[in-house]
Amino acid sequence: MDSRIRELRMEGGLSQQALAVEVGVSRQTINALETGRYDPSLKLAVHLARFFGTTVEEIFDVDS
Amino acid sequence: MSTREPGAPSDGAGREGAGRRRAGLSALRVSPTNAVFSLLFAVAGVLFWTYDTWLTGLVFIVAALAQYGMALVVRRGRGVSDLWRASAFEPGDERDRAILQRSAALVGYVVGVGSMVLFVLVLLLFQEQRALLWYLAGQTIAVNAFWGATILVMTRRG
Repeated sequence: MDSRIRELRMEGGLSQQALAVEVGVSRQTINALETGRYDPSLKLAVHLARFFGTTVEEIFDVDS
Repeated sequence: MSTREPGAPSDGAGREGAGRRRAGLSALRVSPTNAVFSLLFAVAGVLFWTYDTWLTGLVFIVAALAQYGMALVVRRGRGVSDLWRASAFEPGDERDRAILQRSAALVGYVVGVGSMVLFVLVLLLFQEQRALLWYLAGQTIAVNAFWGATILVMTRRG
């Protein structure tokens, strides 16, 4: 599933490690999310949306 | 005026002490899988020490300490890779748990079916006890190698 996580992260000037700490996952998980190799759980998707101040649909392209 | 006995800790000091104890114990926690298998190795070590040779018992006790120690190092280490966390059965987040679940399901299925078929084949083809011992030894090695390869593939793929 494609996502805008990398774009949003870089807009905020965050490293993958920093974002991982903020949402409570590992750096490898953030990398896997950004490259589309891993689909997050609902809980993680909501945490990411809250952190970026947007909605889950704005971050993830569920139709990809 | 306080009715507390001299030298007795105040409620605040008592709570602080309990919090420190919890933090200390929390640092020794490992995953349930590692806790159970470390305990199994330790119990086996005691039993072997008691009913077999002290050397066999010592090997198992060392194995128990090594398993527990490795789990602690991986759990508390900074910058530990997902491959190490999965290999050590110390998942750090939901993706680690998903990798372990998928790997365990695949290995369990392949080993469950494959070992049954291979065992019957070895029994029919060789019909001697030594062949079965060689088969069991080979199966143990093969299962561990397959487990390692599965963890590697699952971690790299997603």
